[in-house]
Amino acid sequence: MKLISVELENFRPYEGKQRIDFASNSERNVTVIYGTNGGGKTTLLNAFTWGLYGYLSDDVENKDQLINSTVWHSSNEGAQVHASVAIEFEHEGSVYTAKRTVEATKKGPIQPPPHRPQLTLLKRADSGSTEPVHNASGNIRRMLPERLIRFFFVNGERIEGLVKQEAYEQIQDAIKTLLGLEVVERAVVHLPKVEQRLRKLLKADGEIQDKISQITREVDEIDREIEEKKELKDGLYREIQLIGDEVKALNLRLTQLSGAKELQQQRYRLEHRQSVVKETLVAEESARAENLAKHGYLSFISGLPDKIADICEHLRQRGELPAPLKATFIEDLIGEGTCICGTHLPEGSSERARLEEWRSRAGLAEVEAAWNSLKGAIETVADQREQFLGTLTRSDDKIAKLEEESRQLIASLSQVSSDLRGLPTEDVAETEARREELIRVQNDKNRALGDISGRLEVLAASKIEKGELIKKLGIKDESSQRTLRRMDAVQEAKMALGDMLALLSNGVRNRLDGRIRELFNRVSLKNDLPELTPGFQLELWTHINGQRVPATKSTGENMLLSLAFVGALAAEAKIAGSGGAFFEGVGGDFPVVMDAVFGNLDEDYRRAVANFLPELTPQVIVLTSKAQAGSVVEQELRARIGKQYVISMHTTKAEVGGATEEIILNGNSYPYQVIGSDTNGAKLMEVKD
Amino acid sequence: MKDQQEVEQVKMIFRDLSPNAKSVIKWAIDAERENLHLTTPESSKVVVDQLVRKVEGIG
Repeated sequence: MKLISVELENFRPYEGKQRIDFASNSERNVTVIYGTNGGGKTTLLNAFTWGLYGYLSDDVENKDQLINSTVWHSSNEGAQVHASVAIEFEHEGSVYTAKRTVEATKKGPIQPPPHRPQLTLLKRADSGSTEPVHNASGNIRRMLPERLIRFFFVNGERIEGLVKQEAYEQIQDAIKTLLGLEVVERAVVHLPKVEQRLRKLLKADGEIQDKISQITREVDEIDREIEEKKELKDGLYREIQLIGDEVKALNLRLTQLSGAKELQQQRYRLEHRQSVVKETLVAEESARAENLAKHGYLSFISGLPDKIADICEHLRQRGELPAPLKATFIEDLIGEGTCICGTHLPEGSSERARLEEWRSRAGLAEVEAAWNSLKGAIETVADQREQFLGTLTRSDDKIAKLEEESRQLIASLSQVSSDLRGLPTEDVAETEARREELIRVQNDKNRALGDISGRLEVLAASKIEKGELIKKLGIKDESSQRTLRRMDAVQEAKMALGDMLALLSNGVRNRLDGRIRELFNRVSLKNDLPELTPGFQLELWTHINGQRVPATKSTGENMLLSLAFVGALAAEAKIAGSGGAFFEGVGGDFPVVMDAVFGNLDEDYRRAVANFLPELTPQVIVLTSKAQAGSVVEQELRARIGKQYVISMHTTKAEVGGATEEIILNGNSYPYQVIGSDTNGAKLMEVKD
Repeated sequence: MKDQQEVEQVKMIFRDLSPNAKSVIKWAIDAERENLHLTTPESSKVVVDQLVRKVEGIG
């Protein structure tokens, strides 16, 4: 999707028709729109979400007042007044115009809430004529799904929310939408409902029908409980993430409080070591279990190999085990009628009888092979046993040491906490007490989460068991037999789609993680390392004395990290759009529209963000105040700017302290804040080259 | 870019499925895609109805 223009008509502060044409040249892909605070920048960002999806962001005041107030007040009573936003864009080689219009009849000075705004979508044919597209809303959502809009049409002041833990769901959803996995996700939810409907079609006679009905009721009950438990699990997971977020904030606070810094850093080191020890312990225990499962029998056969060897040797000496003479060799000689010494072996001859006697004493090939193999195995059993016992002892020692270290770490962490609480600074003691309380609550919730996960596993197994029970009822009815086959197919499909969903989501997470790291490292002013965790959270790490600890994120680092995520997402979208997704993703090129992206950043970060923005996606639209952008942004972006606009804010107020009445761009002066104007509102002006 | 390992794993999941399950997957994806513009609760009934009808084609 590439934005061509936006035209506002009587939309909030924009009186009459006002239009912006966006830069789309690959070399000069940035459009900068300057506007003062409260001058109409956020309205412009919201014009996109309202125009395409019909909503305004939460920070917009007086959401019902969509029609420009000057136009409303100057209209006659009973007159039809309207406002609209028309967005012209290119998608997959075609040009579309999405236009949303709201109309109201003037009855008094106060605007009524907007009544059913109308949306139309027109497609421009090669001839230049336009034709309406059926199901405008559905088609727009297909081209740019609503789930993605928060990443590509963003308010810079809120983009930092991406680095908060609660953003993980939004991030996960965006990834699924991008790869077309939303359809898979929905299918995984809907297929059990299909199975449920099919189960109700099962028919049989008498007692079997009663059993079917009973099992069906039980499965319905299991389904109900599964749904309920999943909801509980999601809620608990979210709560745990939020607590974790608060604990991290308190940790950072402790590093900033005098006296607590050293102790908190010690805690970071101990916690890091604790996680390493835990991981190693799990790996070591799992290796020991595997070793035991494979070779555990060796510990029970002490002396057995020698005993077997003695018995076999005794049997061999008694001629009950094969002699070292092949039966097939003797058979060949008898068959040829000539011994290896050249003696003829006619029927009934004493030589032939001797050979026949040898044949009866020679062993079967299979027995002989088994004997040889047994002999070989017996010889190595003792070595294997010794090796196994050695590995087991080493494993036990390692596990014991790790367990001891883990106990010591717990004690040391407890000591750190106690030391922090004992510090004379009230702030530190309070922060630590709050932290301890949060950890306790988090542990309780984690236990509850574990219980629910366990219960869900039991329910899933029970559901499978009930399904098997139905199959074993011996339903004879042919149509019910078919229903059973259909249920099997639906269940199999659901399981497979669930596996694919997990696999592909994780794959794209890995790729995004790599891209975020690459982009962030390119622009970050620090040596911190970002990570998109397996739980889809954006984290930032730093290294202190070789240990990885959470980094203290400044506003600037947060902004860069969030932008790195948007850039990585845009790159993945491009790949998804070029056929790189399994399930026909919605990818392609997307524009990024950003309001207040420079916020209150320091000059260094403003420069870094300004350098970063043109690289994010093929089209970037920046809404900023002149003060926030500063001369640094102008200098850094100059070579990439294709279009510039100024939103001139008009106010009838005669006196405003500290107003910037004009700004100079490309050597020309433009009105910025017009004080004592004859109107209130915003006017767009294109900056001349 | 799809990782080769990822491609292989998805192919393996698909390859091991019965022909009926493969058909169900195709119908489910088509039905979901067709109704993606609907909200989740809205699409639920429509998609389930469509799929029950399709699945009835399995003999």
